[in-house]
Amino acid sequence: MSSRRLGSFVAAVVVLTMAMTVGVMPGAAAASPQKVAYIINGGLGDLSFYDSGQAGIDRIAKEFGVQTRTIECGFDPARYSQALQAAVQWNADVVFVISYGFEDLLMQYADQYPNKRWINVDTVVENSRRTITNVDFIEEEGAFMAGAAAALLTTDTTIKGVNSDKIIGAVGGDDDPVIRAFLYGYEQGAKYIDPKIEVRAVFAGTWDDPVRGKQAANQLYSQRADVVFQIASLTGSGVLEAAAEAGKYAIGVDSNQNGLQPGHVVTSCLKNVGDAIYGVYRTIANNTYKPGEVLEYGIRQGGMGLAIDDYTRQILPARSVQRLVEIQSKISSGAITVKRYQ
Amino acid sequence: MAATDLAIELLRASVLAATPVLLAAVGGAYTYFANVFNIAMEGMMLIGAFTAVVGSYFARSWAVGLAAGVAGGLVAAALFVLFAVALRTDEFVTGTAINMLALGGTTYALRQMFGVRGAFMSSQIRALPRWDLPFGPVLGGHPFLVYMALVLTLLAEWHIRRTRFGMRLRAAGEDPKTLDAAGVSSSAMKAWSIMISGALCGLAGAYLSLGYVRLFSENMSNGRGWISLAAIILTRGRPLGILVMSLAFGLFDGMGMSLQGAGIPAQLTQMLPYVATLAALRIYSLRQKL
Repeated sequence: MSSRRLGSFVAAVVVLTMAMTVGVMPGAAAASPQKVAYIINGGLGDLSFYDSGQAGIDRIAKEFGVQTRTIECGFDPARYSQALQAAVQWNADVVFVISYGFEDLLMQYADQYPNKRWINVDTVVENSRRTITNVDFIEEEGAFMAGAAAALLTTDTTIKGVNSDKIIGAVGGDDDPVIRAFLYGYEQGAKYIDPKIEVRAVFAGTWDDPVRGKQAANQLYSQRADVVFQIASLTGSGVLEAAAEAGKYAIGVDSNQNGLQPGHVVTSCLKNVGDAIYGVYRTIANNTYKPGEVLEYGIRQGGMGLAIDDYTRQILPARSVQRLVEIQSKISSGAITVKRYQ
Repeated sequence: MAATDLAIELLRASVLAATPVLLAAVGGAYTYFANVFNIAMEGMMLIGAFTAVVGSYFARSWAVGLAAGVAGGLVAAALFVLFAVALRTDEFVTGTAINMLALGGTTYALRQMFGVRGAFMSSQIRALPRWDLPFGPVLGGHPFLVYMALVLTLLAEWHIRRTRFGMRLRAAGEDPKTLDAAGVSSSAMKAWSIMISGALCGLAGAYLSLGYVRLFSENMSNGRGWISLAAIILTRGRPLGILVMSLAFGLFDGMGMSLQGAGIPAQLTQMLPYVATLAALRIYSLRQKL
């Protein structure tokens, strides 16, 4: 190789290296993202939380023409760090992550790769560089609506199968702050309708055992609860089945589960993970995204809500449905303030 | 009366929760006496739960579902026999492999066959019929497999204790060389015991997915096969003892949840079935010394 040709080769390498360096400089976010990763601590197929998020990811892929990739951890702590590493190696520009259970790992990765956009969903995680954006759902508001719906049902003995006791139930997957927040809002909503209503909660201790979910729900029905709110992912599918079998009622969670056991699922407390993910991505696409923010998604922002459809109207009388819609707009306007758990 | 209703529900639920543990453990008792270290019950149960749903869904018949559940357990057991008996691989490693294969395999098949992840629910899955026997609120109106499990337990007690097959089975476990010298293959007896265990685990799986609930969800056996193993070891394989242990486990399991209502933290009550198992272990070891 002649020295001139070698010289031009070296120059080319230098130019290329410079171009690459500029490309990875923090803040040089000129190019729009190409790759979006979605890392979840659990697995898809829960027909609620994770699937709702996936719907948002699919919408991003369709509307913005980016590549997306979903990495499931299946609640296996050994996979958490692998999942983050896989997203980095895949060269994801934007990483949506449901990091419940591996917040510390997320902080390390976010500090190490500051030029990627890290969006943490469902909890609040702050790294030292403050580059993680957090999507925090105001569960209490959605659960307040669920509690109000449960109260309207259990106080209305004209509804088939409803007894005279003012008892409502809830089955949680495990005893953790998110589930506690749900219960806190659920109780407030119920007492808003009738202060004498009693709430009984059972923690199944597992997120993927419908047999235990059914067992827990049957216990609550035997304690004269008319309606059970399931906040337990796959375990909750057993709750819905118990409602149908006992001729009682259940309330679904995260996605619209009203049709899963028609005539027995009154409503579902929606956590619009997908809408929130889509909303954050839109700010990235139109360059209004600010890293490090905590975005609160309650009823007003459309992050939480109640699924009221024909299945609901089949069970609840029109005036109760009307009342729920009014409560929803009161929370949205601030006329009702729902207390936060923490 | 809410208090008696809850008590009835607790007892009723303990019968329901005991049944899969009982079915798997009675099958496992055969392998216990044949001295096969059978840790694959969890996996055989999960495979049975899946194939039962597949059979029931496609044939629109609970009977086909039940048969498919047993067949699923048998296929898993045949694999165990092939490796652990015919090819003489380590039983512990083979059992672990079958458990892992069951979890990964059913999850994969669920996604491929039904295009869903997590759980598969459909009104086309036919449930096992319930028998409205006049046994009162606790024992009446269960899926018929509950009653079949009781009958099978009594049969197994007699089969293992009193028949020629049972004697050869125990001989295969205690002194295989003497059995071989007597002209009966101890390997064949081991293979039989594993197949019986597979069939009963398949039944247990079918009970979970067609009896207790009517759906399949990933990893739905959720440790019940391990509880069965504990029950077998605790009672040294006596089917009647296994019956008592399964019922006790079912009761403590349900009580764990209802005690939360009495203000005891959930983390503590969830320990209850396992603490009870440990306590039972200690009681048995005391009795052994006397």
